[in-house]
Amino acid sequence: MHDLSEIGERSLVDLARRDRDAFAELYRRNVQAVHAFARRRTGAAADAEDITAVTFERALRSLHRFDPARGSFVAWLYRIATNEIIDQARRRQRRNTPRNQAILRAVVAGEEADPPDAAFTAGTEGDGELLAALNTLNDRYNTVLSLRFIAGLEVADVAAHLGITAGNCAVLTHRALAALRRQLEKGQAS
Amino acid sequence: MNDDLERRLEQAGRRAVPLLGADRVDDIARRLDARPGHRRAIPWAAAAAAAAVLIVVGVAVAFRRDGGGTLQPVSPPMDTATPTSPPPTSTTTSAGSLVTVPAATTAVPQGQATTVPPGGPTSTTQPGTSGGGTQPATTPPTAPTTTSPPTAPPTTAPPVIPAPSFTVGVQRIGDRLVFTWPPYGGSDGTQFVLVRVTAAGLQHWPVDPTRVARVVPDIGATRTTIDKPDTTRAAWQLVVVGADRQVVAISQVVFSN
Repeated sequence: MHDLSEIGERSLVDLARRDRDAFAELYRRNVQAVHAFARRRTGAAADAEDITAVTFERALRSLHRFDPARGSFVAWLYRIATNEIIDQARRRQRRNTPRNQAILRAVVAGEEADPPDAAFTAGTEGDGELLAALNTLNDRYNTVLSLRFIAGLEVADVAAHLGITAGNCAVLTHRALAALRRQLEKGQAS
Repeated sequence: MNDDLERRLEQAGRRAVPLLGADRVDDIARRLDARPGHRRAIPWAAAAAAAAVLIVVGVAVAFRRDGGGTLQPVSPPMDTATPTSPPPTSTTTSAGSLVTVPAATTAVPQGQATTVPPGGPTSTTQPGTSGGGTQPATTPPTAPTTTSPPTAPPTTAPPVIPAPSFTVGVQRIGDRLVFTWPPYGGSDGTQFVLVRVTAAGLQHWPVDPTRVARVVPDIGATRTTIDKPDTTRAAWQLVVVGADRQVVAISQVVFSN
């Protein structure tokens, strides 16, 4: 019988491929970190819970694809969470029609306190403008900035998970920041 | 040039956020445990899942509805208990139980082996089902259980949200959730608003707009659908809103998967 709490991450991941209790231990070790990342990245408590749940479901389903040589397990979870955040933002943009917004304003908030147009897309906590702008970037830019700055991963770890060199990761980060700046400036101009 | 933007991003990454509640940690664990091919109970999730089944069964027999199968506005609308206090009914489980019971699950000792029907805790709470069953979206709720006149003293909670007075069914069809409810039989309501809530139910009105999943302007409607591809467990309430934008009636909390 293993004492799972004393097993190192790499061994625990190996064990989790065939032992559910080992996956439960991985879940227990990482659930708060993934949730914190999701909450910071989305700015919304309910979204963060959804994303945390989906992240671990996908991790469980795809555990055989995790390669420890490409970085830590939690970094892999952050990557999964980021993909889910991007997917969620896309789904919301599709249903965030002007008609829905008009009905919402008329019914929920009252005439004296209209909600912002980004009510369905932007977070309600933290730097909502920044988080909303992140969601407008392409997937690669969004991912590299989310992992590097919101998750706080090292360049080497981000690079490994994206399958690129550290140098390329730095270039990608620079371009992503430039795109984010343009997006923010565009938002301010309008 | 990008230093300020990097700092802003790093600040977003360092922002203090609350921990995920123990009950929510258990909820997610239950979902993982219920996945196909993952049937053997993860020990630390099983006991909590069993408790959730009991909640679903309890709520199914505790809903309040009139005998004609129509919704009734709470009268008077603003002086009844809020969802944080158990509505005074003759049954032992109520909307208030949804507040207290899940919290207790976090204290369940880990390692207890319990068998839980897959999907049970996260399935529909359509009245009349027995814990985890589903019904077609067009099936109206089955006959109500009886409720006795209120006997508990009025609470001192802010009189903003009336006590839940009807039930809503929810069923997943592919990527969509279908919500159904009995026809509205009152005269004060003008629209329905479907709101995503916590297990404790709606606490404030007007609600945070990000919590609104759907506005149904047709007061004669008995169903609505929303897109929700992810199967994360979520709690919902349907609010009947009057012309003055105040809450006329509100449903019990219903959980989707």
